[in-house]
Amino acid sequence: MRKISLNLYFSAFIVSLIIFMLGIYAGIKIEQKTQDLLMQELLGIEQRTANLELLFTLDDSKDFCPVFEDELNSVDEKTMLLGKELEYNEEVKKVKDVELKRRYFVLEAESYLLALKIKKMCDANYSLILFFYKPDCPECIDLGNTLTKVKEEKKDLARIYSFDVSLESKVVEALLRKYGVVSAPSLVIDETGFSNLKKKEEIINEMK
Amino acid sequence: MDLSAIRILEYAIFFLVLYVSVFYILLSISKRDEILRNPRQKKEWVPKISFIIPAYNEEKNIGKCMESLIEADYPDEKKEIIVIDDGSTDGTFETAKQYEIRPFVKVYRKENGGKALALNYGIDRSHGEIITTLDSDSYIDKKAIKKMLPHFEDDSIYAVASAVKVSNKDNFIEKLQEVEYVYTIFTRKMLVLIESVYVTPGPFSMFRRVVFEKLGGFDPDNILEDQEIAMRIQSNNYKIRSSMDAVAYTKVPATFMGLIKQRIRWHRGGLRNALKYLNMMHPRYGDFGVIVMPLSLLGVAALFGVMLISIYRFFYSPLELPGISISNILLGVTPIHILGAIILLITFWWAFYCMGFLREEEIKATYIIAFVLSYTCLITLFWILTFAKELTLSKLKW
Repeated sequence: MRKISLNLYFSAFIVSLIIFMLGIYAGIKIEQKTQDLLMQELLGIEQRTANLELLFTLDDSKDFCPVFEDELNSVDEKTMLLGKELEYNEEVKKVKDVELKRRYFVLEAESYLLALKIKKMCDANYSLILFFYKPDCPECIDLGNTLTKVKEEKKDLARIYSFDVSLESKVVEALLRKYGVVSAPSLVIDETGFSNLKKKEEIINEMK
Repeated sequence: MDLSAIRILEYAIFFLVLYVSVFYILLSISKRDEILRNPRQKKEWVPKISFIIPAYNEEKNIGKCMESLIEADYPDEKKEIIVIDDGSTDGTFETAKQYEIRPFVKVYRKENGGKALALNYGIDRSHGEIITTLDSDSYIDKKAIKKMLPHFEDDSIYAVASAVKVSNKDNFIEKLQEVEYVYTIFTRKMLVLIESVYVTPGPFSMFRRVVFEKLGGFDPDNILEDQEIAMRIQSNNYKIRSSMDAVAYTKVPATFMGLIKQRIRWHRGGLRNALKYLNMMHPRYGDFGVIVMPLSLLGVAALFGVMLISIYRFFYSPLELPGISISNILLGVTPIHILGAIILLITFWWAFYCMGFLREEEIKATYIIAFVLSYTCLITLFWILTFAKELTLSKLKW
């Protein structure tokens, strides 16, 4: 009878299991750390939005329009990047943090409403676009990609705010009610709702 | 944490790879003394040794091979050198014939029939108690014979494999193979510890004569006859030993295409031998049947698993990593990346650890790193081409 080194098989199994678990544990820790950093990013943007709101409340005269617009651009840019990071986390890494996402939507709604006010007061020429989507709906993904192209072409002239309607978020529900949106994907371009736009040109046409 | 089906497959493959690495690391640590132990024979034993050298169009190399045997440290009257010219079309026969002035050298000529038949032809005409097979493009170290013999410590040991090193190490491809061969010397020693050596290398191996009397000669239909004979010895529950210091030098392919051609032959031959001896995947054959053979086959399957996953990920990459920000670098990191990094580090450490056992080798660290990095890709390439050849049913050639 030939030898079977059962002890070795077993100890190798235990040792590799320990290393395997440690690796996974480290990976999960890093994923949590990433969530913390994303939350910090969110807090930073919230702070800046709040500052901008304060400034707007204290003095909403036209003299401050260049300041408002500058600040709005920079805050929007950061918000969009954070949105992409959250999306990446969800789609690729399958890490879903509902709390973070809800706060992100509140932040988006906040900067949208602020941008709306500033636009009216300063007669700014940018367009405000709300994009309502559901994850795992192919049309939504197509429209999302089209919007990315619109943003690339129009830059600061297009301010796009995306909202996941499948998430039970009060602020998203409020926006849906406000513009009478019932289906996803839907767009609200400068306060007018659309559920039939698909092409880049069609969207740009509706922008003022 | 991502737990899609494809991710779980990735985790399974990573665990398998980790297990194999840990298995061999623990084996080498627990049997360190045995790895370094020199075999001792109880009594003085000077058997007659027959050296069988099949040669086909090797007029340039056969001389060096024969000279190394003539000059080797072993009594002449106990040597028998048999060269079989396998129908060469160059001056192999004439070159070899020149050495026949020595009484213990015999050169035969037969019509071309392949390496295994040539070996059998030589064995049939030999008289030694020990049969040594050599490749005509290889040569041995002066002390190699006396270092090989003591490994036949008891009667159940039927064969001894040598430490094959590379003789031509000028270009990059050759230097990579130099590292690989040294690495193989060590891993084969590891296999001795669990009685699982499955190849007695063609460049230089020794067998007891009874191997061929009991189990028959080399298999003429096999393109990897030096593996087949080792598997056959294993399947009859005889033991094989491997030396880390009885050195033979062999010529390796100098070009990338040459290397690919050689490896396709090895893998196709290996695949056939695995199928032929599939019944050995059984506890009856000890560690060889329970762990070495299943893990080797699983390893090949895992290689294709990784390949398919890579293709899938290439075509289905849902989103790109967004632009630079604080959390971005960490954002791309998942548990599978951490595991990958751990496995890579272990592999590097293992390669350096193995080289440490063969200290006399002067191999630069950069080549060891290049070896680890390139061979992971190369092995995948070799297997893809092997299966491509199998699927197109192209003819097997030695």
